[in-house]
Amino acid sequence: MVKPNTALTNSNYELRGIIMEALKIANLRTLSDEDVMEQLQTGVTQAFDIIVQRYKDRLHNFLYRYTHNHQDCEDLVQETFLRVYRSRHSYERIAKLSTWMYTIALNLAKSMYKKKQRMTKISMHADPNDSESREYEIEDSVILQDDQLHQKMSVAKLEKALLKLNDDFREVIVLRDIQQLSYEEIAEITDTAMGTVKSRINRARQQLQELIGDYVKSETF
Amino acid sequence: MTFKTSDDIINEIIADFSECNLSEAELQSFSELQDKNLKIRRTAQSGIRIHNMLKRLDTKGVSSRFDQRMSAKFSLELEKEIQIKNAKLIEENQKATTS
Repeated sequence: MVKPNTALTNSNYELRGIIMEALKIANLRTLSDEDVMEQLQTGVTQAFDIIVQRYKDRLHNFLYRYTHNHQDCEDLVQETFLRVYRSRHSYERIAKLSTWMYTIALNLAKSMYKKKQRMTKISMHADPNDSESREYEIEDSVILQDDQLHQKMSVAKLEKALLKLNDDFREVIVLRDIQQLSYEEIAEITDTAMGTVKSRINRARQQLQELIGDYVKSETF
Repeated sequence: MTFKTSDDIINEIIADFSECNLSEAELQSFSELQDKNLKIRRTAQSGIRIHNMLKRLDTKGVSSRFDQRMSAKFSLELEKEIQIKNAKLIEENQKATTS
């Protein structure tokens, strides 16, 4: 009788395990966001990576408009994903996964923004009795001739203007014009009526126009 | 019951106009309104302008180190979860043996 080669059998098992794992991940990739989330809820941890891969850039692009700092933004994106994981059992399929995730990200961004604002106020006005202590706005008076440079500065001006909008206006305009979500999704994320969302979007656009003035030419974009 | 003010309605229409979401009939009525009211025309034009500018802003994606950091944080999270589960099991076992 021939004895089975145990070393070969073990490596076969390992190989089979690797193949099964690869198939599982490949299968997960074909699922909808909501189905992937369901897998995560049942304990398939590989589903988490699929969600991260699908949403990392989208969330970063969204949160960057709040932080304006890549490092802070990446920390926020990671925190969003960890919260998604921690509260995975509270997710219900009645909502789109993207909407649910944006809501978590928005809440995190809001609280971080408030914290940062408080810290900026403290550092900018260290001595409230000092009359010399004031904010300076550095104006660039150089006449720009280079189109590329002008475009770069126009983008910077627009992004700076975005930061000056109040929370209600900024969140809707970023979700609509940058993230290109539907009005229904925005209404759900911000917990406001659709009419209010539309109205805020329009007001936010007007405010941005006022903030950037004529500096940014429409042909620039 | 709440009612929309005329300002809200105009704002909603301008938002739809800026994204080319008005029906033909709505567009015709709105064009007439713009002819009569310069302020509305200016507002509608800047709405289109800002919408297009924002749409064309560069996408800011994550850095190349993101995945590595994310998987490290997730591993810690899983570890923490296991520790909590284990602690619960030990507690339950202890309760069972004492009773």
